[in-house]
Formats: sequence, structure tokens, C-alpha cells
Amino acid sequence: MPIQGRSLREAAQRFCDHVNSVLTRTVTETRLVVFEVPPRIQVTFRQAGQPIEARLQTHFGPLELYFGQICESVITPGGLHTLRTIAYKYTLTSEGSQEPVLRWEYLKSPPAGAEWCRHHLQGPIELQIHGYTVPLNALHLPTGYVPFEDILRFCIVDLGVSPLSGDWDRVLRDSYELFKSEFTR
Amino acid sequence: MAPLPLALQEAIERGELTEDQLRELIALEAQALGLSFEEAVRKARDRHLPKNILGADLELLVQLLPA
Repeated sequence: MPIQGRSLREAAQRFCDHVNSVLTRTVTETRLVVFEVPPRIQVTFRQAGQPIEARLQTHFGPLELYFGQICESVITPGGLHTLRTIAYKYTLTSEGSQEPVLRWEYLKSPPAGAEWCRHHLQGPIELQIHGYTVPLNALHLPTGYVPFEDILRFCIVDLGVSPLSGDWDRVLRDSYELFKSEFTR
Repeated sequence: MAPLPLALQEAIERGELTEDQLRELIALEAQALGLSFEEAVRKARDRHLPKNILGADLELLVQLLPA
């Protein structure tokens, strides 16, 4: 079954609790907070209501992880609330910087006239194309849907974040499989 | 950014915001960026907000507004 609940609140809390349980066993104990503005919800790291980032210690120094998702409830014929992702934004920012190094984004309904890939990667990275220097921020590098588990895996494997549990790989695999086989069926 | 009003913090912690409270939250985050509510909504929809944490959050919050 997908992420469902008898109420939007129940479905939202189920989703948030699951992601928090994955985060606390992989890269951070910073907790996500969920709130609803029916029929949608937002899930982000917050403290005293304000958005915050999770600080990660990497091989390259401290990076700040932003995690944000918007989901929408679709009510099944049986009256259950089922969550669908409307937008996500995962960013990694060098501590003290105002612009992320990497931004993975998805927007289900881009603004009118926008024809770029809805799932994309951006960042202040210069690409050399023949004689041109093209900033990745000017492009929408296609990624396909990026599961949040892959962002956490990237943080551990490629950036060198020390995992918070010895079974982090199984935690990420199990969560990925749960979303693939259960939550999104 | 200045601390949020207590009632708004409590609503977020309870997990349920009214549309008016959502607008209040957007206005406060916009103010922290030196923008009005209307400017922030327009820039969020055009994806022209700063790429910092407040800009990221505002882009998502605007997705919660009724169409």
C-alpha cells in the first residue's frame, strides 16, 4: 500500500516518522517536522518553526543538508488519504555559504512556459563546452526521480559522512525497497 | 530571521496550519529576505528567489497556497 492514513495528519506523520527513522540511523539526528495545509503537507527540518539545515561533517569540511518535500493527499474510494510528491528540494551547502554546492529539485507542475526537466540537478559549477563556460545553474541537468535515500548514501559514500549506525546500508536499502514496493504501489 | 510568533510556532509543532497562518509564515520569511509577501510569491513561482535556505523554504511554502 502507498503512504496512507485515515486522515491527512496520520498519513503525513507516518511519512515523517519513517524518514526521521532513516535519518537518525544514517547521517543526522536533526529531526524533520511536518505540517499540513490541507490537502498538502510540507516536511522539512525546523526549529522553533524556522527552517534549518542538518550539519554534516564530510571529508571536505562541514556541509549543511536541506531536506524539503511537499506532498498532496489524494483520497481513495475507500476514504484513505494517499500522499503524492508535488515537489522536493535537497541541497548541500558549504557552511557559511549562501548558495548550495548541489541542488536536487523536482517540481510536478513547473510555471507556465517552463519546459525544463522537472527532476534536475543544479549548482554553481562551471562546465566547459567548446569555448563556452556554462554554469550548471543555467541548465537543468536531468536526474530522474531522486530517492532521498540516494542523497543520504551520497553523503556517506562520496562525501565521507560517518554513518550513525553500522547497518546504514541495510537501512537505506530497506527504506528504498519499502517506498518502491509498498509506499508507491 | 526574527523568532516566529508563539502561536505560529505552536501551530507548526501541532502539525496544522490554517491558510492565514501559512500566509503569515510566508510573509515573515519573505520579510527576512527584504521582500513583501507578493514579491516573494511571484519570485518563488518564477524561481527567482535567493538560493539560500529561506529561498528554498519559500519556494516550497508557496506550493502549499491554494491555486
